Amino acid sequence: MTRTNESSLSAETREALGRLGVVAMTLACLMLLTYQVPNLHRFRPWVPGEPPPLSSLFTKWEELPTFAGAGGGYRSTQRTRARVREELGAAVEANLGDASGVAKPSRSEASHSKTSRSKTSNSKRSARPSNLPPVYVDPEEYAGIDIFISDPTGRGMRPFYKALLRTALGKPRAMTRITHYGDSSIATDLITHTARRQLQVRFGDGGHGFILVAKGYLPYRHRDVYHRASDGWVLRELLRRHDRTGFYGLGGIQFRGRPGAWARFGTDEEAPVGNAVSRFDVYFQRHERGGDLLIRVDDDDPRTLETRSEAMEDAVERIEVPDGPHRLELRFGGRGQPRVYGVVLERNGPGVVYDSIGLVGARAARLLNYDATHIAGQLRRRETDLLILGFGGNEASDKIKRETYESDYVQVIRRMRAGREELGCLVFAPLDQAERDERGRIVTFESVPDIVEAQRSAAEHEGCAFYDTWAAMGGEGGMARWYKSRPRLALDDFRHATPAGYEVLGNMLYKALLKGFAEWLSSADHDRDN
Amino acid sequence: MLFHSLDYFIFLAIAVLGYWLLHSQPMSRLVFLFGASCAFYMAWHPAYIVLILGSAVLDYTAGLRIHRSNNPRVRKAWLIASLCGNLGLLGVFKYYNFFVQAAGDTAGLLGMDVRLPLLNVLLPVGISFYTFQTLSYSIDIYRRKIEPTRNFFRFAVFVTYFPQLVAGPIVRASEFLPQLSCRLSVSSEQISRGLFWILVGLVKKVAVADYLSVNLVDRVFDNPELFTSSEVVVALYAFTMQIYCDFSGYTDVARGSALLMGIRLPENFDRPYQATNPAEFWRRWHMTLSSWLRDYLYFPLGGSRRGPIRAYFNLWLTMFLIGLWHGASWTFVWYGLLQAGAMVLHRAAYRASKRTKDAVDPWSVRVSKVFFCLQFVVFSRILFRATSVDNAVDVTSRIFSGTSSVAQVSAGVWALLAVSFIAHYVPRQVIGSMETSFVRLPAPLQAATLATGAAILSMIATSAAVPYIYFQF
Repeated sequence: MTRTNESSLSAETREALGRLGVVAMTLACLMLLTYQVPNLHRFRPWVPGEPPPLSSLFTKWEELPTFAGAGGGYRSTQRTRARVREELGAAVEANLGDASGVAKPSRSEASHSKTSRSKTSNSKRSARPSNLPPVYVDPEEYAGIDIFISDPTGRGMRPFYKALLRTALGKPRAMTRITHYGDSSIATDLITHTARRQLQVRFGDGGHGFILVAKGYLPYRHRDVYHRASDGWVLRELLRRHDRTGFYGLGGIQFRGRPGAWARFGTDEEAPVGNAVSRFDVYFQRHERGGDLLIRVDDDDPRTLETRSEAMEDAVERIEVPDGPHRLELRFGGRGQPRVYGVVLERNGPGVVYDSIGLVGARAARLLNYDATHIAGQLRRRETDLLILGFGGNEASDKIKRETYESDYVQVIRRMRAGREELGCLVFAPLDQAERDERGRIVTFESVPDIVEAQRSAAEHEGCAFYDTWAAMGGEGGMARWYKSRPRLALDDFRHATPAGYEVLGNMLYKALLKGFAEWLSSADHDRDN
Repeated sequence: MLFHSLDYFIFLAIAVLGYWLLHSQPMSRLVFLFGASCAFYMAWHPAYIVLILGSAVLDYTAGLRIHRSNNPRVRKAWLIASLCGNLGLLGVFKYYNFFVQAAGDTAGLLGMDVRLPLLNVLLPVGISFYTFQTLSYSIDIYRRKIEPTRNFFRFAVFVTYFPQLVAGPIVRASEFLPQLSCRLSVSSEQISRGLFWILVGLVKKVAVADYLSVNLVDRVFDNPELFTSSEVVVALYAFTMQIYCDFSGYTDVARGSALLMGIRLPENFDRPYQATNPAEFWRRWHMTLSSWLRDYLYFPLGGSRRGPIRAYFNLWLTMFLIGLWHGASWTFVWYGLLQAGAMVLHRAAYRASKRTKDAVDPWSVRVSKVFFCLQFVVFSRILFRATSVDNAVDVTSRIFSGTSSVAQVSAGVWALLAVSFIAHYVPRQVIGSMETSFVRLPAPLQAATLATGAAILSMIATSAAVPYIYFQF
């Protein structure tokens, strides 16, 4: 290599750098202009209140927004919040990502449920007066919502609130379980993941709950958990009525093992919640052609679970482990055909568990493909306290009659609830659904108000509670406004929200549950129950 | 730190300013550039800087030892150390878990229960790029094509240079090191071209790639069963354009950023969808990777000099490894096999036709060849984009579902697809004249053009920053 004379720059280089300097200075002036001229404010490259530029270089990488995780990887700022408040209302703004005001999960908090109850992350809560009852919800915790859970009969939410009270009191092994069924908006585990995180930070981390065996070709996702599976599973779906018996398991898919099939489940060290487990429950089916499943926990020797039996029946294999991070592996055992529904990851509690069961493309009526006894048994075994049904989005483009839809929905509720008053029930209305009309305007489907009203009516008829997601989005035209907002809260299919939008809905649902709980605590209903 | 962020441009401004302010202090300049590059890399994951520095120390030492020794054994031993170190790093962090799982699956099929521990590691950003870059350094010294640099910081800057650190282009030491050694110089034209490339790169990434990704491609691959045959096909064309604009957009910003420091990085794309056959496609797509594998794998294996059978095998292996280079999954195994098969078939057809190299096709024949080559590229991309083999099968089966509505393809997607494909096929001079016009603008007008472009991009940008696809490789 040659030794070079680098002490001076040529005239051409100096001229080029001069040009670069002029460009840089002009750009800097134009940037300053965006701060001076109100009409140009939207182009300000940085807004006071946002994290300073380059601050991410000095931020722990775990704290950086994820690319595709909950919230869509953006950070709400003063600018975005002000704009959203103006365009979508104070409620949406109040529930935007990190502006939601709800406790943010941290690993230490979330993994120690007892600590999280006694030492909440919210400073206001920690400073609460000593003369308050043992379970108290500060109104500040659910501030910023204008749509609440409606439960005129009180029967819909009572089982859930009772369970939540026991959990909040810290009674041994007091678990509160939610099982949320829905369509693609639930399958992404964004609404549910947001609500799960908040509930677990607030009331205790009860574990991840139900997880399907494999993703297969479905866009299924359960966040904050380690989950891998091979391609060796054959899927029998409720949605496509693959199995005439109607035995699809809690998650709506029966997985049949083939040679080479395996699936692994476990805690995720990086996750802010659910990074410990006390037991794995394997939900499976015994049948006459059943086969062997090898079950292995961590590095222990595998043991064989035989699934053959003369009569077809559902079963659960429980594997207890010391509370902490663990992994469970299921593997085809070499003979027969094991049929597995899913695996539950739970802790001993007290805590909250939130199952997310999204059936992409589903109409509510597809749940009628379940064998009635089978699904009732699954939910009973799961000891679910609150069943949430979140459908209606796919029906928006169907030609439906309100009366027919309502009676179908009543049947769905009956099929799932099976007359059990101890199973709480909440109907979660669809998001606003829209399309472009012939003039290119984004307009709500005419059927949406009918669907929402039919669901409200069916819920009331069956003693279920009702949450009006559609109204929470702003009702008629909500999807269009969410689509046009920045950050964008809805996708341009006008049927789904963006991750940021789903996070808003998740925060709203969490706060609505909390508000309902607070009101129940102070009600005569609560006094009578106790 | 993504290129399409305010952070990056502030960082770039500081780096460029510091670089030129230290023009008279070569050592300080190198240390500054090295520090800036490390900071850039550590913004993603601080701990993994250890890997890249380890790789740099290993190859710096290996380079010196290979050069100093005349003993063939010693030279070979250091070369092997470099190969094992770099490929070992790649193997552990990128391929280990995949091969372990594949072994377990295969054993399961044979009725055996084989379990090997999986590693809980993240794939370090850019590992496939910088390991290849440092490997070429050791190999070139071994071949006595270049001499090693004795300045560690000069070598470290070659390995970590931030504009091309995480996704290339894969630069050869023979191209890059002399630019750090010679007297600093840059012309007004180069500065202007650099700014233009940055703007073009951002437009490609933000206005085209991210828009197509968010508004069609991701949704189709996430839920193929919700889309018709026609919509899936449109999504495949959209992904074809998305990945080109994503990767070439990154390269444009990288090359533009480097040019502001007077450093020229090689081109990585030559309008690949104008290729008439798979071989030409790979000469136009990710050119620095294709030429790297040609020079350091295909030729050493014997190229086409050891008979036709061996030539076919060498070609097949090289193309298969190009596929696998992209990722450790069965989809990339199949992608590699598909590309390798196409290349072998093309070579066989070419040999059978006995065409001469300088034969020129009539215009109509060339158009039809471009058309069919594009279809092969578009449909083979299913394997590139699919999250699993099942996902690829599902997407493919949707294509044959016999449904034809395109209601879920928005007008914006149609318009963008039309504009981007037209731009890809217009004569090179059209784009060249735009570049020349920009270069001729006075500096304040250039700044105004850049500011206008940035303002428009900020209006159409998706809410979430979408990372570059090639970051994952």
